[in-house]
Amino acid sequence: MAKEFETRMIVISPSSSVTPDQVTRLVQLLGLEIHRQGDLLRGDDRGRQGGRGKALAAIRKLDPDRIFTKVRGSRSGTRGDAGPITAPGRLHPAGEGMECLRLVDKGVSAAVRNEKVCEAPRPQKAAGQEAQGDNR
Amino acid sequence: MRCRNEVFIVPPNSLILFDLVERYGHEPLSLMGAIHEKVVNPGDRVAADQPSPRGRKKGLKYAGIEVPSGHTGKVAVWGPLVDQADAAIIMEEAPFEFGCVGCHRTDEMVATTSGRGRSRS
Repeated sequence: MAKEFETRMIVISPSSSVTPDQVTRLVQLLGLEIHRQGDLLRGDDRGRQGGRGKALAAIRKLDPDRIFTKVRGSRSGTRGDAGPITAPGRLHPAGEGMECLRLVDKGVSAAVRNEKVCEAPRPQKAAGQEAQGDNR
Repeated sequence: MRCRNEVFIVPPNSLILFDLVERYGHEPLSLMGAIHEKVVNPGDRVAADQPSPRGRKKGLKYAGIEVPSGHTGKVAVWGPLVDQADAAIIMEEAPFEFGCVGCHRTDEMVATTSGRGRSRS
């Protein structure tokens, strides 16, 4: 049963022209055993193994480089929805903000086109910060 | 034939790392997946994000008995994923908004068990 159902979170990058409504409509039109609940950021797709894969592929096709998805630990409507609490299996959208996704989708697009990906220089640590990190 | 590897990601609940690993045809080993197993198959009468007595015993394989219980609980979930993984992507100094990655000792344990800190003879 563990692999039969899966809850997914779908996040659209802010640079994409795809809207949450488009994704919802697409999932409904596919006619698979997919259940949607809540707004898009917290929307979950549950369904049987085959249907889930088909739905995911179809959603990715809308904008392949700018739609991101991950598995969710808790089902929709359970305690996993309860606020921005930092606990495993719950939503952590704050860690990877919209600005971060915008940069990542540029990198993915460049990698797909075999272009050189721009890399920002790594921030240098202050002298005291390194020592402090070792003492933790 | 394309090889499908199991890749452990740190932070283990990262959306971006999970998506990128899955996008290129590999299987990400994430914390969400491990918690999902516990949500779907609740063997013990505790919440899925709390360590059960059985989970604590599992954690003792990776951490000593004198280690704080919070750390043992974390490594009880992370440790089997590290063992199962063919490869790992570890992000250093991840932001604290990721939640459970704030524990420096757990990060050190993951770095050690994943082979980076292990001395090769």
